[in-house]
Amino acid sequence: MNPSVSRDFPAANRWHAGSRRCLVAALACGVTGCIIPTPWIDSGAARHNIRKETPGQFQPGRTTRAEVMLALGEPDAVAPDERKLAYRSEKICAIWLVGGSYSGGGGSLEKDDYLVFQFDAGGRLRKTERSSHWLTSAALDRKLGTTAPAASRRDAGIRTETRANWLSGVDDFKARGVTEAKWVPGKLVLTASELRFFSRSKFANAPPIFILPYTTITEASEDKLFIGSLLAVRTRTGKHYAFQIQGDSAWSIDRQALREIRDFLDSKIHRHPAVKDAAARSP
Amino acid sequence: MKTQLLTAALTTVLVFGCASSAPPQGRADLLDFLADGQTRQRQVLARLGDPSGRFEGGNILTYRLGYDPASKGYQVVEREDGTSGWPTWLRAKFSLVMVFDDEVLRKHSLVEVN
Repeated sequence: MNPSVSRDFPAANRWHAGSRRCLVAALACGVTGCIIPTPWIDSGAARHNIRKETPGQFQPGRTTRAEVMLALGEPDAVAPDERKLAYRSEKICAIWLVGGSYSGGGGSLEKDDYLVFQFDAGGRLRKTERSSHWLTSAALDRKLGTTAPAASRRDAGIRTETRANWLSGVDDFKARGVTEAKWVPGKLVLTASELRFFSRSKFANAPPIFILPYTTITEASEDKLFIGSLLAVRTRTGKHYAFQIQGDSAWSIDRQALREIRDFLDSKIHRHPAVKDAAARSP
Repeated sequence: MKTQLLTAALTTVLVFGCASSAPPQGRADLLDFLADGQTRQRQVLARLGDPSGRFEGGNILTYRLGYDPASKGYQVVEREDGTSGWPTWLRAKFSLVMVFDDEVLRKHSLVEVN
């Protein structure tokens, strides 16, 4: 398995990228279009309590992490070691329209503003950084500077990490009549000794929502659910876990990565044939 | 008969199709129990449930709160994922931040975020 397999987590805004491509394609096909600047207004989807003057409220060397949060609220993202907190606002700055003979379309163009607070080991503010991103949102990991190079991931014992969806609420994903199944978007991390799944809806400083030591896994296979491919994992206690391994796009499935992970797990399972009935640990 | 069925179906579609989602049913007194220097963390967890964020080893807890202007009520809402990977604040209007010392609330603030 390629130990350097890693994908940005989470990925850039696909919707915006798609609408930009549509706009370019439409214009290339001779369809007329225009971009109309608008007064900058908050989009309503992100926070609106971050302004140009906000960094001035805080003093490097004095302000604590708690004081920043008491003033600005829960951050939008945090580094796993909590040394960085990120706040994001989103403003609509223009609308675009395209039209042909009998059809037309349009959308908004946005600008994201980011404010990243960096803290020292004692939790005191070291510095703040403001930045902007036009049309698409910045990748969250890059904004926090937490995209670790392959070497440091290996040092941390991480063999691979990839975007994945976990099919939760279903012990046996093949069970008939299942109505409670839910895809949980997140990150699948394989270390030298265990499989970890982190939910995307939790902060990066949160523990994985479950851990499966390889000694508890009896089978890893590629399976089907409707027309999609799944990584199916079975444990010694008879529990089933199913994962959809995502490709570069949020909507695609990476079968190659799925098979690499399956083969990796398979090799780990066969290295521990003598281990008996160790239960999966759940924090 | 067919006309009546069609009318009934159309009425159902119109009634349910036009109905907007119900506003959050909040409680105006949801946060009244919070008192700096007195409230214990376990009381907070029992009343408000799981926080949306835990920081500094659990000494800082954060909750997202929806707000219903009609009832002036607050309601705890979950962290929402956006397609960009960044969370959105579509359902939450306020962020409640609580700082604890030895499990006792030292300071809290209710920040209007959206």
